[in-house]
Amino acid sequence: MKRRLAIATAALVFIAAVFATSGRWLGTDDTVVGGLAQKAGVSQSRLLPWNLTGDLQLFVFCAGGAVAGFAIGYYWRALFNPGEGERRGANDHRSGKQAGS
Amino acid sequence: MHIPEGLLPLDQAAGWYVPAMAFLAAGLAKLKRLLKERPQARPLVGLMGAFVFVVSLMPVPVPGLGTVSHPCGTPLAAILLGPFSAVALGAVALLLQALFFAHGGISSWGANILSMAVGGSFVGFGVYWGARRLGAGLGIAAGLGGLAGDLVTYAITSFQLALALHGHESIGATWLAAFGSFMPTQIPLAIAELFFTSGVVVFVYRRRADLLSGEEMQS
Repeated sequence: MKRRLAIATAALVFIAAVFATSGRWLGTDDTVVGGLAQKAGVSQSRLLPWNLTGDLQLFVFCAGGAVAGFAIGYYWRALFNPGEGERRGANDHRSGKQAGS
Repeated sequence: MHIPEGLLPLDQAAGWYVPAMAFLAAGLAKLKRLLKERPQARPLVGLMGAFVFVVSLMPVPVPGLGTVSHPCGTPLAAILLGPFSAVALGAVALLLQALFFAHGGISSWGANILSMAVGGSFVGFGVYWGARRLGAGLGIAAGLGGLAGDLVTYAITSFQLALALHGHESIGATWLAAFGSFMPTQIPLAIAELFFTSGVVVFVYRRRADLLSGEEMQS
C-alpha cells in the first residue's frame, strides 16, 4: 500500500512538473540531430514512398502504442498469472457443482 | 537517438550495416536457440519485444527543460534474455519504427542498431554482470546496467553523427558537442531507466526466478 501511494505521488509530482514547465517540448532528435545536420548543411531525405503528415502520425503512434500495450498485457498475464484461467475454471466448476447439489 | 534518413554519407551508412548485420544474425540465431531450449521464455521474449518497441518510441517529457527524449529498453531486455537476443529485438523494433513511424531510417538502420540495440544491450548487460561479480545486489546491478546502457547508446549516436557531420571541426569536438547537447535531457531519462530496470528485474526475480536462468540471483 505504501509503495503504491509513493508511486502515485511520484506520478502526480511528475505530471504537475511537466504542466508547470513552459517549453516547446521538442525531441532531441529534432534539436540535437537536426541542429548538427543544419550546421553541416545536410538535410533529411526520404527513401520510403509514404509520409506521415498531419494527424496520420498521431493515428499511427496511437495504434502502435495500443498494439504494443495489448501485447505487453497479454504476455504479462501469461508470465505472472499463468494459473488464473485454471483457477477460474476450477471455481466455475465448483460453483456449478454446488448449484447442482 | 534515431538518426534519420539521409544524414549519413552512403559509405558510412553501409559501413555501419556490416557489423550491425553480423550482430543481428548472431542475435537471431541465439534467440532461436533460446526459444528451443527454454520454451517457457517465449512470453518473456514477446513481452520484451513489445516493451523495447514502445519504450524506444515514446517521447518522455523532461520537466524543467521543456524537451523530450526516449529511454532505450534494450539494457532490461539484455539482462532478462541475454545481450544477443536483445540485439535481435532492438533491431526489429528499429526497423518497424523506420518503416511505419518516421523514426530513424532504412539507410541509417545499421547505425541505429549499433547504438541502441548493440551498445545498449551489451554495455547494459556488461555493467550488470560486472556489478554482480563485484558483489552488488540484484537491483543495484540491474539499475546500473540500465543507466549505462542508456547513456552509451547516446554516446555511440553522438560519435556516428560526429563522424558524418563534423565538417571543418574535429570529430572529437563535434562528438563532445553532440553528446553534451543530448545529456541535459538524457541524464534524467537514464536515471529513470535505472529505477525502472532495477524494479522490473527485482520483480521478475521475486515472481518468476526461473526466467532468470544462468545467473546467481541471490539479492
